[in-house]
Amino acid sequence: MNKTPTFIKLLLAIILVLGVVMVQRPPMATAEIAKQTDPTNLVHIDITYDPGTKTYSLGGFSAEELRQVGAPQFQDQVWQILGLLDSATLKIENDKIDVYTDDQQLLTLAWDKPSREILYSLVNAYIQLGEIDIERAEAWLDKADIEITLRKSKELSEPLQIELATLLQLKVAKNGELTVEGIPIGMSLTPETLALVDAANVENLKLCWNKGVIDLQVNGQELPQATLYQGGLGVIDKAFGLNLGDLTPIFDSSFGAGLAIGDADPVTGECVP
Amino acid sequence: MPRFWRVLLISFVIVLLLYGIYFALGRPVIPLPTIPYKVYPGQPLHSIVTSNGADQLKLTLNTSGMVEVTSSDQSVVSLKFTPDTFDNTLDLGQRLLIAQKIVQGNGEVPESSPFLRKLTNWAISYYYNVIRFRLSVLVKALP
Repeated sequence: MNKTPTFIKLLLAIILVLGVVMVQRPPMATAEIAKQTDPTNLVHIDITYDPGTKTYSLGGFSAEELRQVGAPQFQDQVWQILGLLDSATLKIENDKIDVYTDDQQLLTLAWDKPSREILYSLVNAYIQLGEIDIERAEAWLDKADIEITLRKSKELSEPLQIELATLLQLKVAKNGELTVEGIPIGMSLTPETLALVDAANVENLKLCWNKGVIDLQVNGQELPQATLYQGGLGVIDKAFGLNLGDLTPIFDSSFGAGLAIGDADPVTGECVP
Repeated sequence: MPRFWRVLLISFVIVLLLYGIYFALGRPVIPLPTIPYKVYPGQPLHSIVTSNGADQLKLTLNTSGMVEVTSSDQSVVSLKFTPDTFDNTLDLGQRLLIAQKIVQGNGEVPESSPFLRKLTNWAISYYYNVIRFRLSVLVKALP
């Protein structure tokens, strides 16, 4: 029997077997798919205060840390009122607002769409900030879960909890002026930065921060996902002497922002992990 | 069959067989030896490397889509990429570089080579999808 045909048959058999093996999907770790829940804008703020020393701690930051960043100090009248309370809680969830003082329910207000519309018209009538963008206001408040707790205590407050599904809309006007949700914040880009961004044809950015994980899109194009580790950030903090302090509240939070430059349309979508 | 063709075919079959085994195993990352790199006092990297007392920093490139910086077994920062996000980064970097030259008006605007860009993308895609390596650089701070 001729050896060559046997050899070719063997070769074809091997290629066939390998072909079958290769079309199989390689073994991969399959991530557990997280339960899909409605995106919510969750903000939980814990504040502890001591009327004796007239100091307060907010969101896990000590009185000293707050003083360093220029947090306001309360007047004596405010301290007198706070001295009468042991605790107070404001909860906005679903369609109602609950207020508790000293663990007793004080009042409940409706927080459905018609109630919010009354609030928008009141704000438009009495506060000179320009007309409220109802669509944006509803994007923020429709699925809000807000809890603000005041406690008379000398201990450090609980870390801030922020999980915002709605993108914060930022806009840079053609003159470089920066607005947040349509409100000018008194900051602007330098003409050089603006010229650089314009020349590079950067129209919009979308940034999502999710407990240390950063997703960034430029003009809708996704860039590599970066992860910052809280422990590891200490290395950078020490190396550059940044004195970043306790970053636990930031690393426990998730939020995102969309930045539109010039005439570009606002960035849409959400930051859902 | 001439000897040359037979040797070529056998080599091809061996390569195919080895890759088949590699593929069937899930294309594991092949670790390459770590490259040591020493930094001296006064160099910009020195203060970063010595900041946590470990006096070393490790940069790991995993061609399956991960770049990680670790210091004393503690992850500092990591980047996850795909050929697409890598291409987007190159695109943005290139545009910013050209924009910087235009704005500063000093020097000629660099012309990009489509061939070089395609070659880079092909290499990234090849080492991401076909054969995966892990390359580490261990930066050690000298006293």
